[in-house]
Order: sequence, then C-alpha cells, then structure tokens
Amino acid sequence: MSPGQLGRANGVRRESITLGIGPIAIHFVASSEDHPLLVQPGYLAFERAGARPDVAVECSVGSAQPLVAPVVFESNGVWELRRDAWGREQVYFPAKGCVGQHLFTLTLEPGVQRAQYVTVATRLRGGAIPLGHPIDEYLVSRLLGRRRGFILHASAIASDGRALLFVGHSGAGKSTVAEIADRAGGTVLTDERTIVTIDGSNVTAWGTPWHGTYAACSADHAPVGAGFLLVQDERDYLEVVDPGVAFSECFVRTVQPTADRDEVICTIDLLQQMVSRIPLYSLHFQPTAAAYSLAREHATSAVAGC
Amino acid sequence: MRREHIRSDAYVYRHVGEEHLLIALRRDRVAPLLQLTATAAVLWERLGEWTPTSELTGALVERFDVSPEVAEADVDEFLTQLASIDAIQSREITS
Repeated sequence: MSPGQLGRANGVRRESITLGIGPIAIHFVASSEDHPLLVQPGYLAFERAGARPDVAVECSVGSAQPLVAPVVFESNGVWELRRDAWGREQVYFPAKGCVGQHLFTLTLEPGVQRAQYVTVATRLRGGAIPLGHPIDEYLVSRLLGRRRGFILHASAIASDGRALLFVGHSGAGKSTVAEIADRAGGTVLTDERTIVTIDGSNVTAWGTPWHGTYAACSADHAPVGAGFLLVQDERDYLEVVDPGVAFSECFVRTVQPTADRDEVICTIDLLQQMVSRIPLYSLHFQPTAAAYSLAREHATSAVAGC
Repeated sequence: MRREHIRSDAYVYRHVGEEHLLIALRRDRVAPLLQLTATAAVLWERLGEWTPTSELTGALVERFDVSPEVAEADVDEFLTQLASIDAIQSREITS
C-alpha cells in the first residue's frame, strides 16, 4: 500500500471494493460519491478484485427506519432481526440508551444476494462510511450457513502445509499461541476467528480480518491438520478428546446469529463432520514456544499416522 | 390425570462420539447444550410423537434393568427438566 492511498481517517477511501472472506465474496459499493467507503488497512489483504460476489451491498447514509415486521431474533439488546412477509430481513443496531434511534441497519433481500447498509451520519469518519465488523461478519456467517461452513472462535496457524486450530473463548490463549507461532515461523491465518469449511473429506481453515489482541491475520487458507482445545496449565501436555466433548466445546464457540433454523442445523452437521475427521486434543499449556512445538509435532505425527 | 408429551422444535439431538447431546437451535436459550444420559436419549427418541408418561416409563422398564418406581421417578425428573427449558410440550389426555 502506498502512502497516497491512505485516507484521512486511518483507512482507504473507495467507491467500491470486493472482499473475499473465506469462500465468501462481498461487493460493497457506495451509493453516493459524497460518502465513499472507508476500508480499514487490515481489510486490504482480503480484497478480491474482479471476484464474482456472493452478495452485493449498497452502502448509504440516512435515517432508515426498522422494517415494519416482527422481531424474530434479539441478541442481548445489542441488535435485533426483523423478517417481513416477503422474506426480507433487517438487522437493526439501535443506539445504546436511545430507544427508537438506530446506529445502522443492514437489510437483506430474500436469497441474500443483495443487501442495503444504511448508517447514521454521526458514524461517518471524514465523511466516509466505515466498513468492517460486524456487518461483514454477519453477512459471512449467514452465507456460510448455506455454503458448508461456519465461524469458530479459534486461532489458526498454517505450518508445513497444514493448519492447526487453537480453540478457546476470550482469554484462553488464542492470541498468545498465535504470537508464539508467528515467531516460530508459522503463518497466522487469524488469532481470533477462523472460518472452517468442509468439502467432502476436506476440512479447511480460512483466515479472517476479525483479529484478537495479537492483531495478525491472513487471507490464506490451509487444510486442517489438528484441533486443540486450549487449557492454561502448569505444564505442557496433550490429551486426546472424545469427538462428543470436542463437539460441545466447539459448538459453544461458533459465531452464528442463529436466526435461521436450517442454517443452524447445517452448522451442527458440519461441526459433527469436523470432529469426526480431524484429530482433536486438549492442549494443556504454558505460554511458551515449547507448547506450540508440542502441538505442531503432534499434528505432524497424526497426519503421518493417517 | 394422565398427560402426554412431545418434543419441541427448539432443540435437536445428536449422538457424537460418546456423548448424547441436546442442542438448542437459538442462542437465546437458557441452555444451549445439554448432555443426556443414554437412558434420557431413549426417552427423547420416544418424544418424537405425542407419548403418555406411562409409555415413557414402560419404555425404560422394558429397555433397562430398572423397577417401575425408579423409572417413573426418572421420567418425571427428566420431563421437568425438559419443560424448564421449553424442550417439550405437554397436555392432558382427556379420553
């Protein structure tokens, strides 16, 4: 990226951009030259110019009102989803403490091939519409639910042509392991949220721009060699995990709006396939390079054993 | 008064590895994931259609080495748990 491309508000201003996040391509386009898009620098690695988009999102500034439709899902007061009789859906993020006022809305047409993103003027940065989380993650999670994939709270490291997944909630050590692995020569696909897809017998991990405290990510992907449930401990060791336990641990760490029953069942089925197809361990560890080496060596031997 | 029960569509059951799991299809549920015993999994299977309490008890007695009294208590406890998370619907049998 050249300095000339940098915008005034820590990002790149564009009239449109196509992002490839995992196997999903999203084309964002500003509806007015007066308010271009502001793309955060971390997203530029995910630009996929010329890719055929799965969904096209028209972005504008305004005061869109909630759909006149029943609320079908609420997420702890942070956002709500409405669905009308024609199958149109709207994600509505209200302004905190301001009943009836919104921060932004994302309206999905039936089939989720077209969407409209409307944000209030107070969220503009230097006159531009900021792109990024949570709009992109919501779109990706909904589309993955129809495309044999899901988002998992896990860091993913590519090494020796295989990806290692390190699964855990916030504070479990995902970013710490990613930092250690980075120093040891691994490629950090993500230190926070991994997209997992399953195609036949192939389980693939994809990097995402939704990073954790180490703030490292990559648009690359790699076949998954092994998964590790992170357990901070006094010493480093591995235990084989029953697929049922691994399923439970991973299920509560999937990122899904659970707005559509079929999409949730698809995720459940894919997760069941994942835990039956990759070796899974609990990694008891101290935050040192030795723990990462232990996981990497075990994954290598597990692949060799297969 | 006799009662019958049926599972709701808020949860799905999966047998993964050695675990019998009841999985909530919405994250706003109190319990996103429940581990069932093998006995409870048998009952859940029977709850695929409206089933009287007495038939659930009978299924346990038939399938497991358990007395009718113990089976009845286990069924009552399980149904209470399922009702508390809206995993079943129940109704009186009038006929």
